[in-house]
Amino acid sequence: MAAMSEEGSCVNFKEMMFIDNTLYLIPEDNGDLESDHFGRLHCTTAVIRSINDQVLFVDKRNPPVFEDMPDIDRTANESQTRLIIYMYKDSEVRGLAVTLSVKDGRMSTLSCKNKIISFEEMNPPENIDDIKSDLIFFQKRVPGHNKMEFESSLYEGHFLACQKEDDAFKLVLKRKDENGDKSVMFTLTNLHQS
Amino acid sequence: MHHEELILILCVLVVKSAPKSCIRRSQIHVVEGEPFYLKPCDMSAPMHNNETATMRWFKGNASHGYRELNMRSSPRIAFHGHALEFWPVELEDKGTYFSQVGNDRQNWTLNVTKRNKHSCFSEKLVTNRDVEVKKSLWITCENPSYGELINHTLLYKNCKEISKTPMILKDAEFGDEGYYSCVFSVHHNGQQYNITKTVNITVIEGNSKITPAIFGSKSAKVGVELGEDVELNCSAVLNRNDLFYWSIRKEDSLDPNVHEDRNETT
Repeated sequence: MAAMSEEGSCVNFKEMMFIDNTLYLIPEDNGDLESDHFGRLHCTTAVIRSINDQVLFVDKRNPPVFEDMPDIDRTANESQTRLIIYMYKDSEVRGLAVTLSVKDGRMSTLSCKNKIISFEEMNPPENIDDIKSDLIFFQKRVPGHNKMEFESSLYEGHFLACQKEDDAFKLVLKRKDENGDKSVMFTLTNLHQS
Repeated sequence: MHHEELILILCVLVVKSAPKSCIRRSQIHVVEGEPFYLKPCDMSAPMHNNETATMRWFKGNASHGYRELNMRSSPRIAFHGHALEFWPVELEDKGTYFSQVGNDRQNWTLNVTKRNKHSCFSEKLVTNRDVEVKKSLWITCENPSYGELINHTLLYKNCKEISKTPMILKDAEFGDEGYYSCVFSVHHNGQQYNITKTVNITVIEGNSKITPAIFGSKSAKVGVELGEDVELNCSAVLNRNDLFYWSIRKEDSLDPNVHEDRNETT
């Protein structure tokens, strides 16, 4: 007669939380178990616009910029204005974990390594075995606005921002200095799946 | 004394004028009859600060070759700083352009749209924007690249002037749908030109977001006998784009013993 093991294998949920309309289940912290912290889910495609309705434009040889353009220009330059946003499972409760990519021939994914914004030629990884990554940003809704902000998972308190440098509006990583900082607010317009 | 005052005024004007935004995108559409410019990006890089670096402009294509542009190419062309200006752009300006400083080159393809004589704007050159009903509708008219040259600005809705102040900030109603055109009146060399920027506002039904909720108790302990299958169920109510997933701690990143299934009902 086989007795049931007293040490049954159980998944214990300590807590449930909602963040930005996202449901999170938090397991008990069994310190002896490792976990993969970012696991890729599915992707969506979107146009990202600054607070002044400028479109994020990604040119692989140059820093990404925001430009004023009518819709016909956006579609004519689609491979450089169509952002592919992959969502990731996150074992910790933070904002929605995402990567941002463009596909202009090859796939390039946004990195903020050393706090420098660049699109590196790589596919978004299937798994990221770390609690922080230069590729992962936490997408959060700005309270009171239909806008999003993207916090770096690697540099806490640092956000993607639209910043004027000389005669260009560039995508940069900056520490958000106060609530209501509009340079870190972006509009996401979803594109139909293609 | 008179000359000194004139020089001082010129200095002030030079200092005040904001630089035109550079243009990185290569495919550009513009309507005939309006001022337009091309300007390469990253011209402030150290190697370009060299005063001897000269900007050259070319028009043409790979098959027929390129010809260099200069003041005599067209009376409507002007070179100002790092920008190639069209006063105004016309249908014949359609084509491929590139700028060159030393070995650095940037190119654009310019598409010129015929003007619609029956409308105050070109429907081809519109930005579409959806606004939720009862959310804020904000329309503002700004054109920093021509800042100092702008005499006045008018705001039209469906080509009817609607506001002395070229700005709208209100809660959106379905009656607000329409084409909003900012018309900037620009003065240059004694001539007056219009620049039009149009946004097409569509007012959509509000997305009534609900607070997501999990049914049942928040925490549960399930005993499992070794080697047996177990099914864990979780029911929740979500909005359309909300994300629902199981977070599982395991030693191996890919565990073939764990399968996720989901049923969705509307």
